[in-house]
Amino acid sequence: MSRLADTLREAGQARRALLMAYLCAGDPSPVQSAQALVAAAEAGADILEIGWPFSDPVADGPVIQAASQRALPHTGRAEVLEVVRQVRAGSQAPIALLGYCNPILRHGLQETVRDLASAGVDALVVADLAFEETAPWREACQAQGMSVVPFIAPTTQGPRLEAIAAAADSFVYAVALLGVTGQRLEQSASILPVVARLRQHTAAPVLAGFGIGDGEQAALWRQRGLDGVIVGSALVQAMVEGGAQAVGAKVRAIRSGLDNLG
Amino acid sequence: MKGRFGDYGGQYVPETLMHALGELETAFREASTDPGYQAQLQELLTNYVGRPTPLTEARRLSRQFGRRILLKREDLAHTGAHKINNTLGQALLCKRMGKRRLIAETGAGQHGVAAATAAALFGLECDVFMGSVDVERQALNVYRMQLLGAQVHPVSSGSGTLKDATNAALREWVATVEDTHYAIGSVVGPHPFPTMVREFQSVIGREVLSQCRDILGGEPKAAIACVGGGSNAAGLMAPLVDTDIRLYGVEASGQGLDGLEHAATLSRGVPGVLHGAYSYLLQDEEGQVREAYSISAGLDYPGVGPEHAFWRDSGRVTYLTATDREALDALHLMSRLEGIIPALESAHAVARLDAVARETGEGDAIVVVVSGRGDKDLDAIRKREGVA
Ligand SMILES: Cc1ncc(COP(=O)(O)O)c(C=O)c1O
Repeated sequence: MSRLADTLREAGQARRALLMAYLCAGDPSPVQSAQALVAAAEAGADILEIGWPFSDPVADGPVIQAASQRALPHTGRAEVLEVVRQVRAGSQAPIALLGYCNPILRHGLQETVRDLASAGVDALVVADLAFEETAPWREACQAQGMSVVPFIAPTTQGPRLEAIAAAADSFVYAVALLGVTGQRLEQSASILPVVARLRQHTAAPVLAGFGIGDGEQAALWRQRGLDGVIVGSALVQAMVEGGAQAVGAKVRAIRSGLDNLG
Repeated sequence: MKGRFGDYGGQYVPETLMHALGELETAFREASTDPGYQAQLQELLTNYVGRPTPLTEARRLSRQFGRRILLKREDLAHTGAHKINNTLGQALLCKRMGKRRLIAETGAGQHGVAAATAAALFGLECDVFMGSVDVERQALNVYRMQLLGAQVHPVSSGSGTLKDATNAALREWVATVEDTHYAIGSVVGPHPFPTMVREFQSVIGREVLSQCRDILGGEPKAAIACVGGGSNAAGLMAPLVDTDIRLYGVEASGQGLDGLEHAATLSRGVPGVLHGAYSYLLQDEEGQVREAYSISAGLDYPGVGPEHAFWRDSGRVTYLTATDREALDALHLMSRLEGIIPALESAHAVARLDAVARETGEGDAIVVVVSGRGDKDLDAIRKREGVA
């Protein structure tokens, strides 16, 4: 986690926008996904988000659903860990693991968290883990020096928001729209009041994700005061169209969108 | 923890839905003690659904098994299955929360029809998600939903059955949660659904107890129901768990328990998280959810309600299984002996009367829930049996 804490602190001090880049482990193969993630880091991604494919990804739109389906036949727990190790070997960027509860729980939460930590994961992002269920997860992750990244959504309200803020030990994932993952033309502003209220209770950086897919959109979120963005479907799409090289190019484009604001 | 049955249950959903779940829990709690709401629901159950549904003496089946067999006739409820008990309750809550649209997943189409019916009655918009395989095997119900004014959305991802329809409904709910209520069709999903749907279906068990007092002068020895997600069974059992009545649930073992072609979640599953709850689950070594299989679309689901997981572990309820073949045989048997064609789902419960008979004595009374009528299945059965 110190890798992640360092990255967040340095970006904050330098007033540099954070970019978290998502790809699905095993899409199209474990080795190729690992190479593309390393390429994303070299192109300017600050945090690498590695997806653990799942049969029933209810938070995902068609692009990431399809990536999961492509990866599943040859990507289990062992392969996910191997992708993490390869990425860790090729890059010093902090790694967040994006998954759904069930595959992580299958062989025991503690055991899996320990294996993920020793492979090089710094944080867990669990798409179907509501904040109310996170206690055992945070305990298991803290024991391994890992963070559990909490979500906020446009619908997050009341005392829950304060509890989420209090639990944020790295950054907060702000779901930028009502819906599933996938790039949108329109960039909803409905999360902004929630971010503003969250900021009254935590100094943790807030990254917006869902629907963001190019430099212009990333720049908009920077102007809206977010500390960074998370890009998934657009990179998965780039991977399909042109492999690691296309992923690198896409990340560079988004990076320059974020940086050229002055 | 909130909404737990022992270790089972919980709220494993994206953050976006948490506010709606809280709102629903509050609305349900307030409605439970609101005499106005209760009276309105009661009036609908009486005059629209036709409750109480009869408890029918099955005289020829009784002779066959040497036990006194009583049929709880949910097949006679409006729309032909128990699902309407739940959708009317949820549609009323939907109105109460000021939402204008209902969405639902459906397997056999019975819940979709019940949701479309309730939506029509209350002037709500309705969208139903249905696996593309089920759209085919339950074609008549698709047309029924359309007649009732609902839009049916075929879902072709995954196995094209109930699990995938539920994923699609959850995704739609995340995108439209502000003005849409997701009426889940069984005792599954995140809290408060398993508790709420159980409460709406408990009218089954309450009526059984009171009808047994009239007919038997007491309690039956045993009661049995089929288990898909588990709502007709939970509705039967919840009012009975504190009695001495032996309780049996029957899951679908499809082509047999030895292979993978079954839907016997409680018999062959491992606990895990699907669709918002921790419960038994058909899954592989990697934690990927398996595709279930049953001839009966309403039982073809790899998960099961968390309260059933709790009852299973505690031993309060015994869970048995019936194969496709056994369910078909039971459907034929009951049709010929009683003049009642049960739904294929319900036929699974009838099929295990043999096991319950073995565990009871001569003349003991056994209640079987006939959760629905078989009309919707006639095409599928005809095809399966090679009848033109
Ligand atoms: C007639 C009938 N019985 C049973 C079921 C199974 O559902 P549950 O286990 O929730 O009662 C269905 C589901 O569609 C059904 O239509």
